[in-house]
Amino acid sequence: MVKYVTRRLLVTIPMIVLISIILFTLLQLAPGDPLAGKLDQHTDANYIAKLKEDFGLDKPPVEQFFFWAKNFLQGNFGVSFDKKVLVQDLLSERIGKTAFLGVVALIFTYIIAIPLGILSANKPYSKLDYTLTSASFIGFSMPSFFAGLLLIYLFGFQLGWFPYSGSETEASGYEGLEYIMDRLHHVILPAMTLAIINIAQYNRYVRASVLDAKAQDYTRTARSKGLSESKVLRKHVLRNALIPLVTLFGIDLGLLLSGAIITETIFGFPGVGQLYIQSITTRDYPVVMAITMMTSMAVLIGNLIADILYAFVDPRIKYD
Amino acid sequence: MKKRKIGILSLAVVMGLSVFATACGSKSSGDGAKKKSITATMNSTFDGKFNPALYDSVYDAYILDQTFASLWKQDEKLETSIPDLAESWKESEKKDGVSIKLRKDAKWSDGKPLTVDDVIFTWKFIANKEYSGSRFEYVESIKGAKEYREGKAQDIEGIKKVDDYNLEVTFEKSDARDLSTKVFSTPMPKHIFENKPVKTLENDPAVKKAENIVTSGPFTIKEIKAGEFVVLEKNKNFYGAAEGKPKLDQIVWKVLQEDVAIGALKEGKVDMVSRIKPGSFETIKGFKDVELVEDTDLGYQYLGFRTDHPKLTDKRVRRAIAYAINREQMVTGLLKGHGTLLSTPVSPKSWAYSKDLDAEYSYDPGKAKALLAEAGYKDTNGDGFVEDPSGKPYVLSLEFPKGNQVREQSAKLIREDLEKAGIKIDLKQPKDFAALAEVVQQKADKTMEMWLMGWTTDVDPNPKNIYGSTAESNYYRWKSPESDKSIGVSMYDQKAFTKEGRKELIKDWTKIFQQDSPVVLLYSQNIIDAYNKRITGVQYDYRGALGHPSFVDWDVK
Amino acid sequence: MSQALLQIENLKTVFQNTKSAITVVDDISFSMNKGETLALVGESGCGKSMTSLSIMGLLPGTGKIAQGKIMFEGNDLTKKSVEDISKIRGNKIAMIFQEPMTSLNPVLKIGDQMTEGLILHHKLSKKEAEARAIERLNLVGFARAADIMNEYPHQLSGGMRQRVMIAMAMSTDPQLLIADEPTTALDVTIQAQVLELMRDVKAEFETSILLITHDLGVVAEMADRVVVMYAGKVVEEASVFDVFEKSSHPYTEGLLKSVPNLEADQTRLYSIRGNVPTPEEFPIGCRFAPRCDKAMDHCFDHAPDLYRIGDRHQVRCFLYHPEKGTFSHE
Repeated sequence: MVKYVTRRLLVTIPMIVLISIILFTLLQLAPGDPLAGKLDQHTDANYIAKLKEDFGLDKPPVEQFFFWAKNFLQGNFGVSFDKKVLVQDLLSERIGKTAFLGVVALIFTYIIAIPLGILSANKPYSKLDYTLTSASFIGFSMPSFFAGLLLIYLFGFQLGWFPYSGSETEASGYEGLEYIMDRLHHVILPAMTLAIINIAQYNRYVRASVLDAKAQDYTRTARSKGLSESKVLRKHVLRNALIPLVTLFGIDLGLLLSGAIITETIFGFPGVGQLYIQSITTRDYPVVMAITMMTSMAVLIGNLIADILYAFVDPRIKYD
Repeated sequence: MKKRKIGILSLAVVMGLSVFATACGSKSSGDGAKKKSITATMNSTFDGKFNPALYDSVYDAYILDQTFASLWKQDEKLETSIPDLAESWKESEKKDGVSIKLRKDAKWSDGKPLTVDDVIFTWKFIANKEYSGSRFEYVESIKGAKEYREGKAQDIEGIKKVDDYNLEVTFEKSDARDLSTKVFSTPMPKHIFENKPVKTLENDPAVKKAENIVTSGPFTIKEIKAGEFVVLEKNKNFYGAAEGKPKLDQIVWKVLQEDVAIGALKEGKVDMVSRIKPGSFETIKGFKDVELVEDTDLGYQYLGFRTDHPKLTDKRVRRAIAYAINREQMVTGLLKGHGTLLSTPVSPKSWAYSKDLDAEYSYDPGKAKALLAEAGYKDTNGDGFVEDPSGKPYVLSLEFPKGNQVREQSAKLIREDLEKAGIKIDLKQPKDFAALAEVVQQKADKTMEMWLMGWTTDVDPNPKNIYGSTAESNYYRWKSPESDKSIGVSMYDQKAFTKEGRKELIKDWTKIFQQDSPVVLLYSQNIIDAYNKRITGVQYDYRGALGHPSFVDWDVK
Repeated sequence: MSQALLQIENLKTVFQNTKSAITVVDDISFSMNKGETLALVGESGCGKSMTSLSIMGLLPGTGKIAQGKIMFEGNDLTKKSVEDISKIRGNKIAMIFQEPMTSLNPVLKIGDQMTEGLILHHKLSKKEAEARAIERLNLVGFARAADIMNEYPHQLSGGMRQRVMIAMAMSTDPQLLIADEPTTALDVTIQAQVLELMRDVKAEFETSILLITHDLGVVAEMADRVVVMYAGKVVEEASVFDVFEKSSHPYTEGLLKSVPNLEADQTRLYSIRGNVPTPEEFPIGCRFAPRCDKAMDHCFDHAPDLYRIGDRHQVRCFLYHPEKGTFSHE
């Protein structure tokens, strides 16, 4: 196992290098000069030239890349072209928030989608199943800005159960547990928005997977032993049906980091996504690079974790 | 039986979460009951560089406006006339100097007195060659500032401290422009910044961290959450505190997407929404307890020509295009009346504005055709579009950036209008702003012909920065000795030193500008703000309600 | 005469579609005595497996028993509640399946799967159950039974898995073991071992075996009595001796002829022409008539009953009609 993980990690390195090269090239090729956006009657040529020099933009691209790579390896993500502040300062607070949002969204996904999927599979083609199926299709096709606005309207404005924006109460003075509760209270609506599409997807997936497992010979064997249907479901069907979900986990990890862009914007939830979209419009390459690299690494590591988990939950998989 | 349990269990978890959440929700609103607090919104996130010399974003400016006092402020005619930190000031007859007297009761929020030293420190900070911001222009006029920046002088020659509260400034030369363009007016606290490195100040806590930012205005910054909110708290050391200003205890600035902000305004969850899109006007109009205010913004949209492009060197063609565009329709149709037609680059709100120049370029397709014909552009092959004087097909390309919906729609209207007048238009796909700006700014570019963009104008009506031949922002490459001469006169001639005289001179230049037509001025979108009627004392002008200096007098019922 | 252990009376099993009901088991009756091995024989699709699943109450999908009785130890299983059936299933009646490769749960250890029936039905502790499981694994020929308990199905070969299935089925000392094609998926050499094992088990525990197979070789080796099914109906019921010596139904004859016979110098293996009809297209008359070499006109539009032709020997064929000769045979 250790050998396998080491090997996988080693394979990850050239992938990350490759991703960074492709990304850098794409950003170089993309039209738009990061400093051109500072179109202002007061920005004189000297000022722009000075910025170019400060940011190293006057150097040839290859040199720029190595400069960036060297700093990146040392944990220095550079200076934002747009805001002129250190990228790590911009990211540090936001990463935590996005991760929190992502984790809560994942938890929502699991605790809602899995039971619903099982319910559907228990009585396939029943009214309940059709209702859940239709709900899934609606959830799946609903754009997240719409879902977000709907939740804000219902639970933020009409019912007033949850805050309609932000990640914490302004000037609250909360500390300790109260502060954590406040954060949790704020994260629920955006996390739900983020989770909706996931729930719709997972629900379908679990339904199909459970139905499949229920039709398997080993399930019939379990039933032939006289086990109750619920025991058959819990012990024999679910163990098999839920294993493939582990694979999805790896992909989700990356998606949640980057997929929160719209949700964060609507909820004024200050995570990485909000910064990302802003940085793309302003061609703030150091920030775009840093976030994309982090997302890529999250996906790679997420997949690695998923593969390792797979070996734990499925005895048929062995790594050596 | 048990399978039902799973369903019930999951439902219970969700319900439980919501109930618990509701419980702590009701608690959170209990806090600021006694405080007079309002919540205002901004559409997009602030950068969080809360320093008057270093900020770049307009959202940072919202906060700075309310937290930092200036020497002086502009009145509703855009003239610098309202005292703030400066109790009084006197410009010399020849407009080559100013003596400034600070009020003695001005203090920093940490209680230290605000003196002439802070003002001088700020100017020298901006003139320092290590300074990374973009505001050198605002001290450049002071005598000796350039030498100081280039390291040729230890001090800025034109600044003379008389005592702690009196200061004399000498300019490089007589200069008729408004004080606000010649003197950077928002001081930074010297005692905080004097020992800090100039070059990397953006990353300093004194610029970014609420507890380290020292301000001079009505409010201080209490809490900053990047990308989310800024909480401003009444500054007890503000010089107006003695008179009970500001009346509010707290202003919460929230980053909120416009749709959500409008919903929250309706629900009474936020009190002020700024810079609303014209399309939302009618929706908000129906809200109970919400007041809508609008006024002409200082910015304007324009269609730019590359006047050095062979297709556009003939000013009759450019004039024809100006006549052919139905700008009225943009204001009434696209902006639904929430905008103003523009014919001069001088804001209609300014003291320097001459209303009688407005008549030029009212929609006149006939005149457009006549001008085209006069220049030799005629439809020789009967396809409905003119050919150039040599008989070759004549097509003009038009570029525009993404992002501003009204502007995107106006591009299509412009094409329709111009094609009606016989000019074939090649309307390009919209580009990202940064991508289009890059090409617009390129000095060597030969591909651009026409484009749509906007300018935010200065308080001072001087056109040099945008229309002077050598101006960095002269993307139209309009080289007119006549115009340059006229601009020079309006800045430095004796006649310019009186308001009336300068107004005349600017009018003279505007006529040259109109005749040469390096750009077609399209419209100025109104600034629309909405606020809950529980806020009293709100005034507004071209700055909107939120940007208006009256915020110190706002109160809540 | 002692009471039969299992008595099937007029069992009819249908699959309910949205529009129509498809009858897969049509009015069959047979009985089994204690200690007896009854072979249920027929080609695939005859309804053998559906009969066994009806007994177990494990009909898939929309399948259900439409009429008839399944008397087990004097109680009608069709009348019992789900809970009561569960107490019998896996306890007094156990089943082994055709597909050893897929019939064990791939993610659970053998030990876990072996013991759960014991813990459930015999209320044994985990330890006791494990001891019993190891004992049964020994019995089916695992020398290192304790190790096997900790292994996963994918670590075992097909034959080993079927032995595990048998050990598992036998762990609760069932009165009735239903074996649905237990050797079909196995290699020939392994087949012999498994059959041997089943015989041993039967001898040891006096278990009755309902053996479902299409393989008459297996029947000859294992069965006391034979029930031949065709298209959902019983077409012949006889002792194993009668079937091989005096098989009477043309279908049974056909089945016998298609067994490779080393003594007869066959050049080509015989096969019954045509295929078993699907339940939707069962013929109106004798269901075998379209494939029958001896079919008469009468056979095509009249359904024959079971006619008794000897001691516990019944045949569903007009050839054995008490008033034979009434029908013209052309």
